[in-house]
Amino acid sequence: MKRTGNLFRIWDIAILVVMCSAVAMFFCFHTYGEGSGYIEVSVNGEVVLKTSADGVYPVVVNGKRLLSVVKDGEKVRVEDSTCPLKICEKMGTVGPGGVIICVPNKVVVKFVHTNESVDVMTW
Amino acid sequence: MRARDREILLRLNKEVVWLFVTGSVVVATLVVLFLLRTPPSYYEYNGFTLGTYCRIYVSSEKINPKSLAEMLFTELDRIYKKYNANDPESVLSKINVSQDWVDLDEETFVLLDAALKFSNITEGAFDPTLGNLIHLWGFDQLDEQDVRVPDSSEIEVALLHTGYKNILLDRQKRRAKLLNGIHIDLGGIAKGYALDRAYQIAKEVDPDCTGFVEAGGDIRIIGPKFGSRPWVIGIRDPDDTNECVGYLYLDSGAVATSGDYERYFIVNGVRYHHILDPQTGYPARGIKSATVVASTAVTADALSTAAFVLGGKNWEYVVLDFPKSGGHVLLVDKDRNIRKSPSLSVYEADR
Repeated sequence: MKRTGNLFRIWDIAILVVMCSAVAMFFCFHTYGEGSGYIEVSVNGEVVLKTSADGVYPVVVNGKRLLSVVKDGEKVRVEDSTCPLKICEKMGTVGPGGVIICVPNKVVVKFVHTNESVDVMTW
Repeated sequence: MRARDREILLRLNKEVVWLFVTGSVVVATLVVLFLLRTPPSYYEYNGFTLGTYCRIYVSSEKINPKSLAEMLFTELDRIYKKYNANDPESVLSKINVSQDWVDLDEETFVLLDAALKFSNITEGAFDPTLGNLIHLWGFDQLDEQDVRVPDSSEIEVALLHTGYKNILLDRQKRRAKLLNGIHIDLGGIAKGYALDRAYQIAKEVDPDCTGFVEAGGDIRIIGPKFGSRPWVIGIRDPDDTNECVGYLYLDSGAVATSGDYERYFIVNGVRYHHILDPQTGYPARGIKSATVVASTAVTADALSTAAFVLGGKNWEYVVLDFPKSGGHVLLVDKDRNIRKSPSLSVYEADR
């Protein structure tokens, strides 16, 4: 009885160590990259704004306002663009993973989301 | 007996302790290896060239991915400048203004030859000689300042100065001549060519590099995701930016989409977009978007334009015949019907 008791105690510790290791690994690899999405605004390839906070963000380059980016929860849209055809505004709101492009102003508004199921869109 | 029991107990305890120690070391080693393992790091480069937004997403173990991405962007930009019809200094402008034979460098000759090949295959639905028409509509200007609906008489005149058969290529002397005052616009193929060049350069630098290059929704796969998985590509719903009408899984090749939502303006409730029908001179009707999967971006780019133009007239021909030319098609028509090449199903399954 004594021998059996000792054996189980040691194995209990061993199993506990293995389980702790597994739990540690799970947290190490599953917490990475999580969190809410954020918007990234770039002008001519240069990132000028990166934020996850809701709000209205005017995009100004060299003192000239090009457009405003509106982030509202899981939606982002463009308004007051100076481009002639306003295609960026007509695109409406996009959600996580979506992109709005204003070709005349060379502005790209991306709703970056870490858990995207789609890598890239063809359009 | 009691001494023998103690001996057995001691031996068993030793075995258990050694088992425990060995197991712990193995687990600890695995944990350390797992934590130290560096996942392939992708570098993302965003920029504007080829008249649109470009995104380069690459990983390499041989070269810094940032340097590789910058190298690829430089190549995209070089091709844009070389074939930008609005730049009087571009190679294309020099061909357009010449009344005589123009000697061509090898790259330009190959590109023009490819453009004519796709014109022949599609019986003119893809036509690289619509420069005059595109200018008339104002779609040649990226600033979108001069777009307008031309008079029908203006369109009739401009149509007289189009037609791919007005491009003469002299293979012996590697030169070209344009007839009837046509102007070449390579907007329907240069983007695809640039993406293929980016692919070639990436593979020359590092044959094992992976990622993709995107220019205005046209995508050239450089290599599988993390070296083994296909990239998941959403096909944009023409009516809803947030939705997809389908998904493609590509670990090689290319995909291109032509849509009526990319560049357009609305007059009296009518949408006028930038993909012109070479027969009528007006925006092609009947299709909202045409997506083509092919082994090269040049093929995907040229055939997506042709599929858009022809799809509204004869969608059966497009979805059934284009695969013979290497393009697998998905059309979304004006009533939101989706027409697909049967061969496209190969790319719709996650392998």
